[in-house]
Amino acid sequence: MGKKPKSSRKGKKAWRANISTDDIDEFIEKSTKDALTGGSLAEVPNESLFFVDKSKDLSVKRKIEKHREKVLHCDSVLQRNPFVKAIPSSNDKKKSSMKNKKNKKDSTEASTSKDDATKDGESGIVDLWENEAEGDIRTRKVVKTSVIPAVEVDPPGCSYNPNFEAHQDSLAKAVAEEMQKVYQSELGPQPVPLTVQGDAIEEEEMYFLEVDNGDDEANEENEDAPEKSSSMKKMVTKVEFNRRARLKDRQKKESEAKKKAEISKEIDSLPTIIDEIAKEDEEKQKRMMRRLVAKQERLKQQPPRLGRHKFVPAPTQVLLSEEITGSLRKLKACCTLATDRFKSLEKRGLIPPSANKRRRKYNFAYELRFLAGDKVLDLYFIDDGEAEEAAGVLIDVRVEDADGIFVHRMKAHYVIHKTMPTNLGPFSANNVSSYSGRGTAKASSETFGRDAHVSSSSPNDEAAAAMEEEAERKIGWLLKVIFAGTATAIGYQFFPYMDGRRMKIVELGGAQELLNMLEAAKDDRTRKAALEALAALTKSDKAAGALHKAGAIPIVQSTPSSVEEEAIDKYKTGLLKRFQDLKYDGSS
Amino acid sequence: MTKKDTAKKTVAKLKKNKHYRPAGKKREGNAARYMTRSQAIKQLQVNLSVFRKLCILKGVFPREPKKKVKGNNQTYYHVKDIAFIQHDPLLEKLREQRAYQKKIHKALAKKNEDLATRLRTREPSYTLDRLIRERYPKFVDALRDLDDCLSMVHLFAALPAVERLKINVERVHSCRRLSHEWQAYVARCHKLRKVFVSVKGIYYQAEVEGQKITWLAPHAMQQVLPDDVNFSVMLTFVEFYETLLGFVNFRLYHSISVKYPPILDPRLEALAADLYALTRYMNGNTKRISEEQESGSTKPEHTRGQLEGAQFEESEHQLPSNEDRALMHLIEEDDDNDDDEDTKKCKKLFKNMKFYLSREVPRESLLFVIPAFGGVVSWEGDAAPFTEADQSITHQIVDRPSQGHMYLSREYIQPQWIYDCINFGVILEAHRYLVGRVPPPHLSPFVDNEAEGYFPDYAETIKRFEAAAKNEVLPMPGVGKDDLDDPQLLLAEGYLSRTEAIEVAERKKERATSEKQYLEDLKQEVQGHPDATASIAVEGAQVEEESSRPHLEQVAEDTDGTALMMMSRRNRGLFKAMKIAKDKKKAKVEKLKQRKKQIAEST
Repeated sequence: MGKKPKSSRKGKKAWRANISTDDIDEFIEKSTKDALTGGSLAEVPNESLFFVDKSKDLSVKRKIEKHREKVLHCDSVLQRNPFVKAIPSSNDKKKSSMKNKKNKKDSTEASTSKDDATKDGESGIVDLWENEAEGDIRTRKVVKTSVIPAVEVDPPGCSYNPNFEAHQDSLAKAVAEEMQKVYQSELGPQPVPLTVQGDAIEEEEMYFLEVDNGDDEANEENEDAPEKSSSMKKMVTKVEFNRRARLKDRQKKESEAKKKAEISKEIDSLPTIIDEIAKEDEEKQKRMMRRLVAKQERLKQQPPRLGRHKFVPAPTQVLLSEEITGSLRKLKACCTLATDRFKSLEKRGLIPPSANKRRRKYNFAYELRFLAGDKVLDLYFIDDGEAEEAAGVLIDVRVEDADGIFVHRMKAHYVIHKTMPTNLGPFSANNVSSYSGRGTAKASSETFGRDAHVSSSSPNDEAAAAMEEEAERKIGWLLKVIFAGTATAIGYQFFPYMDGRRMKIVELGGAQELLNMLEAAKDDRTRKAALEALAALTKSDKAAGALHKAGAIPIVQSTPSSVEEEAIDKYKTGLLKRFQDLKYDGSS
Repeated sequence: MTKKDTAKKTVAKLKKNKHYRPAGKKREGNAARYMTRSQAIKQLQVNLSVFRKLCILKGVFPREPKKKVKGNNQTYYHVKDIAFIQHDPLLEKLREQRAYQKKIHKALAKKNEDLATRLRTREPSYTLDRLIRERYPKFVDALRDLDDCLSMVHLFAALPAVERLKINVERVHSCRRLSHEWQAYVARCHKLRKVFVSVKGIYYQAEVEGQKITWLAPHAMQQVLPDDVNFSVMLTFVEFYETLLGFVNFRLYHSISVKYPPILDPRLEALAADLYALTRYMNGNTKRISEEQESGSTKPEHTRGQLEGAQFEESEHQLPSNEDRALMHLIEEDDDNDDDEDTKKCKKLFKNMKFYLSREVPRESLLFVIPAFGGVVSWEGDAAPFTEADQSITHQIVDRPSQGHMYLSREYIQPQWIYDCINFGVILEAHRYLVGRVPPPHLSPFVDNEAEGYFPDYAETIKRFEAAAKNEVLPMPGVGKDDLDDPQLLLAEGYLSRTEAIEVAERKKERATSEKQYLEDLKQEVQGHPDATASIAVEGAQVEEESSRPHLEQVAEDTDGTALMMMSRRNRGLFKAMKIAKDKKKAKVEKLKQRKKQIAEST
């Protein structure tokens, strides 16, 4: 920018009278103001502005001193006697506790810092109770929730090899528990029936159901009654009125006299009344005692009512008489220890009891693997319901093979970890029977088609019967798992007993299923399996009849014999012979 | 009209003011002292699962108020309990964790994997050290409450890892490790006292620092995860108990001068022989450290042990240590000092015996139990200390109908033999427990037969056997006292000639004087070392506890009417309850006897 152009001096601005004197005026004004007020505060140093007022302090100090020196009259009296020690007043206690609190705070801070320091070290674990004798920890009075011990030892009858008498005792107790449940359900209220016999009522008639015909007349009568009474009232004469008053008087007097007599009588019988009261008191006392004792007893058995649900104890774990073998290996042990611990927590009142049953529904698929060592022999996908049956099952099945003996570990939806005992030992039939889904394990071990068979150490009849029973429960499932093809079929060759159950299989459509399978089978293995199952089924006459009706004979006859599987021929001839024995001819 | 209204209003206001209470204090009595769970949750501003967790960790449990103000179907907590939780820093920590989880969720929802992983590396965590210290101010308190802890840890060591229930593999592993560490300590110090094999599992009882600790371990079989168990609750308990057992183990290991987090042989660990690895580790460690200590200074605890040991040294026969013993052998002569009578007895039960386990017997349990009573043990499998062919094996434990090849030098017995020997405290005759036989009944050691008044048959036979064995066959440890105190027994044995009687009297006197001295020493120590007082007091308390019940009964019998009158109402109730229980017991014994008679008649 260039130079400012010189303005002409001719303007009004250049006149002397018009030169501004604002700054000068301001300065003068300010200086006069300062002179009046004594100077601006902003420039004055702090020391000269503020000062610490110590005039009141002295008195406070004196107050404290005075308080300290003050001795209560009672204390002073006691001080005179050297043999009596004064109990410190509450003031002192408060003070000391305050002090302690401060100390504690410090110590906790210190400990936390220490913890931090050690965390950097090797393990992060320190001896927590290193200085327990110092007693500087904030302790809280622990409320004992219950008198029930944390681990209740089972009675001697629950031993794996119990003494006879003790066992009978425990067994009786277990049976009593069961029976109580049964009785309770029997004696309880009947459920409301879902359907009621009789004709249905039409909608129009419904409106007239509640209406009663006689009602109207009754109402009319009622309306008449008050009128009559009012007319009666009007007819009272003076004579009558007086008579009534006299009667009333007399009655009153009589009642008073009676009362007096009664009171005097009661006064006479005072001792008996006192006796009665005493008796009542005693009775009350007794009742209270009974209640106290009962409560004590109850608390030993179960927790107080802590929530919505009542505590239900877990059933006693005791062996049945036929399950006692004396061998630890064959022991049919409890596999739900988690329930036991959980019930114990509930029993001690540490957690409120939960509802009885909580069934979860899983809606995703699981895999069911059959393993030999690390090798996966077979793998199935099963859905939720089946997985629920199979969940929690891990079974070792020993299978003899041309190469030697394998232990097949069947597991359902589990991560194997190394805690699994590697030497479960040979599996006994008894042991296996305690698992659910055992039937399938066997069945599938057969599906490998290696002439595998399950070796059990003592396949006695009882065990087999137990197995069948178990398997029957699983029928529904087995039929569902038809995708495993032969599984269903093979499952049933193990059960050479019980005609009724065979019939059940037939009724459930198992036989038809088998025949269809046989007809549609493309490989020998399947055919063999189906034939095997049919052979097992026909051991029952009724079942054989049903099979015959289903047209089994032509299907069996038409089954091609195979070179590799000799068994097919064997089964075929066996089946046909069986049908002949029962006089079902082949033509029909 | 308006005037009237305003007047009414003012009256109402006045009335309201009269009943006005400050905001914090609304009610009195049970209504003020207890709050329902939902109220508590509201006050703490957490969700239900966090509240449950807090309660378990802090040891706050629901109560049953006398008057349930909000109804019978509610769970009540004491107001002060909730306040106690509210003041804990853990509450803040859990809230923080929840907020952090939200961040991770958000990152994942935005498909920001990087951020999520980065966040996961720095998740806030909490430690339970302070809580344990708070709940168990003394070590003894922790030991007293160890029953539940041990049972739970042993259970989780046997559970399958299931993702759905959030039982992860690490948890199972750590439970397994902790349970083995505990077992190794108990076995090493010979603290085990009783074992009872029931259908449910195996009950063990150990006595550590004067506390009887009972726990239940599952059988070696697959455990099922039932539906009616709330595993999130169980897991919280386990979380707390894991920490507790860790600290307890630390303390116990250090008390026998072993480094705590033990370092194990990875080969043995891989072969699932953890317990064996642990015992080996402890053995090696204590040897080394004890050598160091002999040269250096000793701790005050040890001085006490030595005092105790001095008393026993006279009577004890010292065996020369055998160098070629197997590795599993745990008895060391130099370590005998700080043991009490029971421990000494337990230590010598299976002395000089060598066991071999076949593969069908419960290995885990026997590997724990046999060394605890001084035996040497091996098993079939890799990494075993010795094989089946070893000639020095004295007992082979089998559980099968018949044994194929048999060595003549050893006895083939069933596992029950071990458990029964332990419970009765003597080596039983093996012929009842041979292979293929049905063994005699396994009796519960937790039943006090004398108090119960009823002896099962087998217990009686063993008692007789025991009495015979004490004086003739086996030189039982620590039996001298019983014999001396019971001159009748000696008389019965035709033992008590005149000279011997004098000898006995002298010995008795000696013992008495030594005992007195010992007591005095103890007293001195009490004055000197405050550390020792705690344990002694505890012992005293224990004795008192044990003696209190029979004592009460005695008193009650002696003075019927007057004492009953003098008792408080509560005590009287308790007394009556006791009487009823006693009567019941008597009736039960009668019934058992009758039943037995019936059976005898029928057969």
